[in-house]
Amino acid sequence: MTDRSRLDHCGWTGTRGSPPACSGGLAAAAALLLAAFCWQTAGAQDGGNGTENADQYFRQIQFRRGDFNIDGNVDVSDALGIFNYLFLGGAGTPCENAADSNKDVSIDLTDGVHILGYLFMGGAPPASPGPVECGVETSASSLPCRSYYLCGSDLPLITHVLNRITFGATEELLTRIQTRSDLLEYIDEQLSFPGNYAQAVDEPELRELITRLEIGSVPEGRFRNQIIERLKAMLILDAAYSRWQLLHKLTVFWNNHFHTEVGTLQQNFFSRGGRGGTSNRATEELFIAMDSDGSEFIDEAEWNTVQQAHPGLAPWGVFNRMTADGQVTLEEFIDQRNIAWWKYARVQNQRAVSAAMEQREYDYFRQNAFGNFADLLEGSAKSVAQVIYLNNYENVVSAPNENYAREYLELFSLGVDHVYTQRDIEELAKVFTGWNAGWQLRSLYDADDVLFIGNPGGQDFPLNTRENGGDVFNFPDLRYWSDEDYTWAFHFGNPGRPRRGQPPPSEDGHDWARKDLFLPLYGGVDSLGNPVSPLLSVQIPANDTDQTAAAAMSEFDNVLEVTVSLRDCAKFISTKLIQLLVTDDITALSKTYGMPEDLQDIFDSVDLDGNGRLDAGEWSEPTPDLPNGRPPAILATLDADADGLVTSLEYQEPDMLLDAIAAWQTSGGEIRQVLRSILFSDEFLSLKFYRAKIKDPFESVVSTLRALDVDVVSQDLVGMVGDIETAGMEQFEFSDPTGESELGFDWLHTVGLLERFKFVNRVANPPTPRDSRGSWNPRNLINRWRLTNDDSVINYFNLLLFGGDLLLPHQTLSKASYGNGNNPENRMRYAVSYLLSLPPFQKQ
Amino acid sequence: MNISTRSVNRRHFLKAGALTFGALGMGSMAPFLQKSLAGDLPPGKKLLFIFLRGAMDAVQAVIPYGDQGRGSAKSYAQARPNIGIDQDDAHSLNNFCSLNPALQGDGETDPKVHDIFNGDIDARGANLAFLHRIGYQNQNRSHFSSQQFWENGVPGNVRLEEGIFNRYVTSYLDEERPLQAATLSGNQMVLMKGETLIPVISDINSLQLAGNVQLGDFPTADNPLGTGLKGAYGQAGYNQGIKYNKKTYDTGVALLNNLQFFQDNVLNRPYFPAANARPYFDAIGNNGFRNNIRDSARLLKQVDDIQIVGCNQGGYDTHGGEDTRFPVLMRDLGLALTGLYHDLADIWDDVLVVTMSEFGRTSQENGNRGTDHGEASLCFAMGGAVNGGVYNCNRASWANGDLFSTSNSRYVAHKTDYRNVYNEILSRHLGDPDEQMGSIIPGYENLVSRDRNGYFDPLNFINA
Repeated sequence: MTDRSRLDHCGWTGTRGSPPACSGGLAAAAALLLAAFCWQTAGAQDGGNGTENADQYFRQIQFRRGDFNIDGNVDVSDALGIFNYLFLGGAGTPCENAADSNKDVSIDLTDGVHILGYLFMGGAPPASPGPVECGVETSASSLPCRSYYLCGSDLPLITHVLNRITFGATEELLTRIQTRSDLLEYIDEQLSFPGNYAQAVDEPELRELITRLEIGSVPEGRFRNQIIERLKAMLILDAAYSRWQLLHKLTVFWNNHFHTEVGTLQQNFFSRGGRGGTSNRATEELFIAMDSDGSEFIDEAEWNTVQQAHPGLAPWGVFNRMTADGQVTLEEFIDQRNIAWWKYARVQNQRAVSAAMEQREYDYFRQNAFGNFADLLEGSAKSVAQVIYLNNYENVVSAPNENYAREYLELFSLGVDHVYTQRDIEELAKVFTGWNAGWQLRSLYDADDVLFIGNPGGQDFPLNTRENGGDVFNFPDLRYWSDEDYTWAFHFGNPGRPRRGQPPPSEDGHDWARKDLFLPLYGGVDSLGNPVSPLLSVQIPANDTDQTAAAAMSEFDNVLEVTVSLRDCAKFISTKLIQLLVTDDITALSKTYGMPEDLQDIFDSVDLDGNGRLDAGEWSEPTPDLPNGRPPAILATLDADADGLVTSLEYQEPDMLLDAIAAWQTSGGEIRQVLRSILFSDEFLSLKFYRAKIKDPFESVVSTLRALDVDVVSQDLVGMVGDIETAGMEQFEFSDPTGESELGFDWLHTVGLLERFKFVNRVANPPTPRDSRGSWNPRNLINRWRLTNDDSVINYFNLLLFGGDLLLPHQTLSKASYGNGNNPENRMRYAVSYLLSLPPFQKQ
Repeated sequence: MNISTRSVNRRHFLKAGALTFGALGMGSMAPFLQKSLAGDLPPGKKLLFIFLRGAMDAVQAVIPYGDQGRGSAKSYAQARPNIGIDQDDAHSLNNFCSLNPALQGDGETDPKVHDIFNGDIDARGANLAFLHRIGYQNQNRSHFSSQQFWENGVPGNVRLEEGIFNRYVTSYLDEERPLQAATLSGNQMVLMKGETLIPVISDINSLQLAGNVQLGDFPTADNPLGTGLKGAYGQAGYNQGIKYNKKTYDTGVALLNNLQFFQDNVLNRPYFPAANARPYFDAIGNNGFRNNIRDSARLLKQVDDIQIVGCNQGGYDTHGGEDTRFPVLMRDLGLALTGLYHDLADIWDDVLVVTMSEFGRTSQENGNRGTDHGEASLCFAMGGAVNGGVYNCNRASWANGDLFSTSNSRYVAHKTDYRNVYNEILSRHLGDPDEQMGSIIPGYENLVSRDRNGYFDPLNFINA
């Protein structure tokens, strides 16, 4: 049975109608949507009466004959697709006329054979239109073509690009971007965002909205007890309403790439009975500040004076129990500071502080989203949240902790299982010894001592906590996070865990011994299985003379510089960006550049039998550089079809990736240049990956808000945050350091889809006011577009969200979804809930 | 490639379709992973697995006090001066190793894992086993990679997003069973990913849509469009072509079928855990874990045909503060096992509960009262067919100094390959005939035949 018989059976009559949109009288600003709409219906218009014969309409759709699977080309996959359809129950096509390659008005074996003959035996090409040029059917006798969206308009391409570089198309964007040329301008504009983002300056309206909804300020009102939710809600608002869509898309990406998590911050920092991250020096400063008479102990009166001003501080009676004689010495103060500050802090306040650390990171990533990768990597390494999250604040020479060093290599810069070895991890952990985070009195704040405040450009830095402070006395209360007197910062120097009754050790906690990274003798190989060049080794000599913070930081500078210069760093980050913006499946990218000469030489040298394929034996053959052979895991990674052999094509990297790596290397790791290379590539600016990526739950929620231009209040946002979490996404609370998956494929599972259905229904057609998410009024849309009948509504959303290619069965089913009521607003609510539940809306 | 000669049914066509899909360059299934054709339905056994994410510290859970150290290799007490458990506080299992005290307590809402081990609770006997020193050669110490290997069954292949239990379900796919497997989690895990779409359930009671959402009907010969959401996702002619189309449509169909199934068979049957299980379930501290465990028990008890249920317990990456964090995790796990022991009593002979974790941790504690990534892992296994006991942790299997027995003298070396554990679960409990094993655990026969180190010697923790 063909699709045609099924559709005919459904009684679809092609009554797309003559929408009021085409008859003029609408706002000029809507020109694009109208143009697109008119494009889609132009072929079908017959005097605009909307009653044309369906088959006649189908014949007007432009297509390429032979392109069975509608990928824009006539190739072997079309022949296989036809055979699959005919004999194995595979998918059909909505453009049967395109499948009828020999134009005998049927789809059968001969169509596939015809294509193969044309491709491989010099046979005649499929009859016009096609196989290269688009065109309409001119013969009276033909099969129908219900949908072939690759010809005749830029709308599908615009939809595709907007789906990837924004959080979803809006009416406003589609009004502005009408042609491919507009689209290129828009990409350029998004990439050209100048300087560091400061919301109050760059988008004051958004700032005002966030403030009004109590998101970006002190948690009062509805958000008072929902600290993490507040932060997540801010992400929703940024993504939904910011003009700088690509910037926010990248910010969310970096925030996830350099993942930290509030639960672990809380656990590491507050719940262990540990040091609370406070530095001894800062504690000492505080002691001096509290010791108003300089007696070198704090008595009850002094304590009460401070406690009165800062009620979050433990009462003297509680603290005094921990002292020997009612007079608190410096040593006792250091020893008992956890009791003083943390033990009595409410869990909620601990979460508030952790959330504030997260927010500071997020702000930094937003400021640097298009900047140099070295700045991003450095900013993450020295963010208070990261120093705490992956235990660098506990990493001291007497007790090294390799947790951050491992993830620096595996997750943040190079990717798993190549370039570095376990030995490199251990060596790198030494570089990070003595790193710390803590609070300080602003009045004692010393930019020379608290290192690396300010980025290389001398502008704002997230760790420049002069802007975002914290209060030592009542610190766990977020109200004091913005206090003018105290601040949190990364700093160098960590004497290690103090012992009860003992003065703090005077050492800085850094390992000043020699450190060697990426040494060939460690056996590291790159992602293609080749030995890491000895030129890229980092050798840090032992330092007995200049044991300063600056010297310790210069060790990291050294590592950072080499890290970003490694080709595999460029490759790893570029790959993730391509997966974010283009396709999960890197192997699906084109490889037309051929193998670079140097890699071809390597390939040939491994291919001992010269058969053009590398097998496990050849791969593991020892060489002078690799006495143990190449690691099997690399072979498995390169072996895209998992047949145990790596061909030169599999060994070769895709064009888009090669271009991105080249952009990285030319610019020294400038993300803006890498993005430009990806977004202006022919492959991205085609329909090859049209709707070939699944939205994650966050993207799904935000794209719904954008599509319907929903108004929200705080409580809506609380609900949406919960919806995203129920769908499986735990932004800021995901426990694994990997961050959440960037692959859309991982986000489509039954519970995720269920929550999407629930969400769009809560927005478009809430069963009760209590269930609603935001405020959406169909009346505005009806009036603005004169969407007075069911067809016009479906056509509107078809163009807004689906590039005009919504499948006819889905159009027909959407019409049936209206229900029986007569109220046009209610009818639209049902229809929109259904339209946003359709399969194509789950993808981008 | 293991091609069965069984009769060809619907699976054949799906399989053939997948092969063609691969030929189109849209699939990357390795020949050795092409699964055999449909198999016979195995007997009605049930499995619940709990993946302990983050690398559970094996020697802190089941502590090898019997290892006295040798040369520079320290004993447990020497290696863990700050976080080590005093032997007097632990519960002896076999005069060589002992159980972490957080797994057993005297209070009414304390876990009773040691009692279960000893068979002291009721007449079921000793049906709890601890499988020490489980791992694989060339151990990878990345969480991501090692979890991937434990789940896809192919060490070294980080790209393969296809799990052992999905392969099992696919091999025995039975259209008569509406729910053969389910993941209780917010996301799908690799163990359950693959050709068959296994549903993910975060909360059974939330498996329903508002009344104004039209589920409708799937397309039929009489009504090729169908209606409502089922009509939209049931448009089979459009479920391929563009990549991810198939998964989108398949997920929709699976979800809508599930909603219907749960509406008709589960949600209308209120579930109350057994009275003697309830206090333990209720005492689990982590909300998500508590709900998933309770829902797992509900599925195992209320859905007759279900075979495999999986969930996770996270948080085991204890680089610091292990002395305070690990007992909390152990207690929750112990409460879950104790609750399950009671709640699943009626189906005890048919059920197996097993835990797994991607690797163990360094035997030497670090300076932050924690441990770093190590090698051999530990599995718990509990159920009617389990031969209770401790495996790979007694005088015969653990020499002095083995706490530091890897070549770099940092970790416990593994003695049993993790795929050997899967093999026993599949072949002895779920009832997989050996002929399928090579496709469910890729290359299993070769692994066994080439093994010269005893990594694949049967543990016999499940009765044959």
